[in-house]
Amino acid sequence: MQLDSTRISIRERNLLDTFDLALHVLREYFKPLLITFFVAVIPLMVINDLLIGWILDVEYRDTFFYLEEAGSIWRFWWDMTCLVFIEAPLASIFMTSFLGQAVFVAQPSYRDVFRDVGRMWGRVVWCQLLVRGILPACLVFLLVDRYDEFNPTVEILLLGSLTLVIAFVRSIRPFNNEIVLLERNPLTSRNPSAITIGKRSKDLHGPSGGDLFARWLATAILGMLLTVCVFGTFLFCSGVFLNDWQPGPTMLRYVYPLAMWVVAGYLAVVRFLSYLDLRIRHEGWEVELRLRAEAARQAAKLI
Amino acid sequence: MATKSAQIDSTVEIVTPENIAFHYQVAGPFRRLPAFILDLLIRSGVFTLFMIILGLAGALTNLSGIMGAGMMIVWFLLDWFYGGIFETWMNGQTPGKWVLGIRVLSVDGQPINGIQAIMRNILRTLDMMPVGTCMLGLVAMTLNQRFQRIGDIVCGTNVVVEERKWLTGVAKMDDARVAQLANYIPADYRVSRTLAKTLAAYVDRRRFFSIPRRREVSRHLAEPLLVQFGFPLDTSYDLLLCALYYRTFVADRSDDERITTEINTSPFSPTTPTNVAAQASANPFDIVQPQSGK
Repeated sequence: MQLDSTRISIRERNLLDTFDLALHVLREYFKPLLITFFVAVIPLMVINDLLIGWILDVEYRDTFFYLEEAGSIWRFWWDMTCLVFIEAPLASIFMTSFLGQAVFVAQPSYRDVFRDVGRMWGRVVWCQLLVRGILPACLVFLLVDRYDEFNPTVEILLLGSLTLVIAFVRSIRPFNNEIVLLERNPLTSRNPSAITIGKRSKDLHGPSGGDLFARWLATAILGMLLTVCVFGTFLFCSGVFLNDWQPGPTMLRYVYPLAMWVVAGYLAVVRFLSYLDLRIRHEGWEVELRLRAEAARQAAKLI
Repeated sequence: MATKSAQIDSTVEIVTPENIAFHYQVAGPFRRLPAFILDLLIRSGVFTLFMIILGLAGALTNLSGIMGAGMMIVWFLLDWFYGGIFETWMNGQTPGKWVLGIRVLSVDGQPINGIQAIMRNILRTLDMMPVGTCMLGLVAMTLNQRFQRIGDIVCGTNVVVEERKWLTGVAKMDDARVAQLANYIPADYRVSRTLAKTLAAYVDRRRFFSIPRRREVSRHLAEPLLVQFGFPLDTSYDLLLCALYYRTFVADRSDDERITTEINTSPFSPTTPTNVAAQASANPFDIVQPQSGK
């Protein structure tokens, strides 16, 4: 591994350049990214469907937007949007590990990717499932009784508040996955000088909180636009091939989450590239890599 | 002829028939998006202005039907020819592209002609399929190295970023100890090409690093060099790399520059407040206090 000859060009970029570069990365590693992403996404899709899929189990008439059915549609849309938003970082763990290796290795192996994530599993469970609210969000839906009437306190107030808190945390501390999976800092340490996940996160994100929030906001807007575009494309395809131009229950139940997951996968690549950018801007990471590579060359010469 | 760079990057190399290579950063869909939105706003503004004028004219002359047709013609012209006309007139730029610093070029690096400009703008309708979601254009851009949408592929054009890179000359070393330590580096030590590039990158960026970070970054290379040169191990890592940079890019470059530097660091040269402290501890091997860093 030669540290200064990276597969992805390491240099400072603005957010829009990062979005563009992510398309190149997607093209270059399309198959492995697809596999590593859907390995994590498929179980989450099944869990989500089990949690809230029943909301759409009502009799639908020819026209989809009947008043009494519209409530179920909006309820499902809101719940699914919140769930996918909350779960997105967990869904990208294998992808992040793959990208971390792809920077330095020409063809990372799936075995290494899964092994690396496996090693960090305890920290992932703590940071993503518990601290970043995935488990609490799932528990919220266990409070909902499908045979009872819609309870806005649970699904709107509780879920909404949880999503808002998670959104805020993620906006100022976006690179949690990268710190856990790539930097591999310990969760806790008795040694006060050891760099734990929390300490590292504070050091990395702290100096540029405002900038990160602005970037997160721009990313969220672009993500929403992309979701509309991807879902619109699926709807168009359904219209052309199945002659079904209405976003019916099947479309909403399976295709809308799929559209969101596709965008979440793309945004995971953007997030990874933004992480590299932050390390370059704040820590001169590209210079450090060059110095380390040069030190290795010097050592080889001496041997 | 364009060649694909080995690294994944948004730059392409264009080699002209004269065998001159240019590096361009190509603008992808997201880099172009603000320019498109800006142009859309300008078009909408112009259309609104025409709508008001034609609406008033229609109301005054009792020819509202003709004025309605006029509005449709204006909309058609703006929608289909705004980009084409501006890109022809402004050498590959619309007002939006001009503000955002991007330009349309032929794939061989030449300026585009009128037919290319108009065709690529008319074909935007195709790129915005299906039904305005722009997915066709986005997929086309993802599938090629130059971020060409279908209109670009058909017309042989691409959009590049007009960025001027500032070339920073040789960095100035204010610390007198740098030149002095450089004299202690073994005369037979030859700096390789990669090492010279690495030193230049480090010295260029070090001013943005905090002092502890300088130490962290420079440690990787400085530690083996200290051993190699036989210097005391408590020598400042940052100072050593700066001295090696100085030896490579300043002292070995020309005698004139060296003489100038020596004059400036002589005991008789006028001292500035910043180099008084440096000259007070003239020994390059001394340990730098933690607050000033290694």
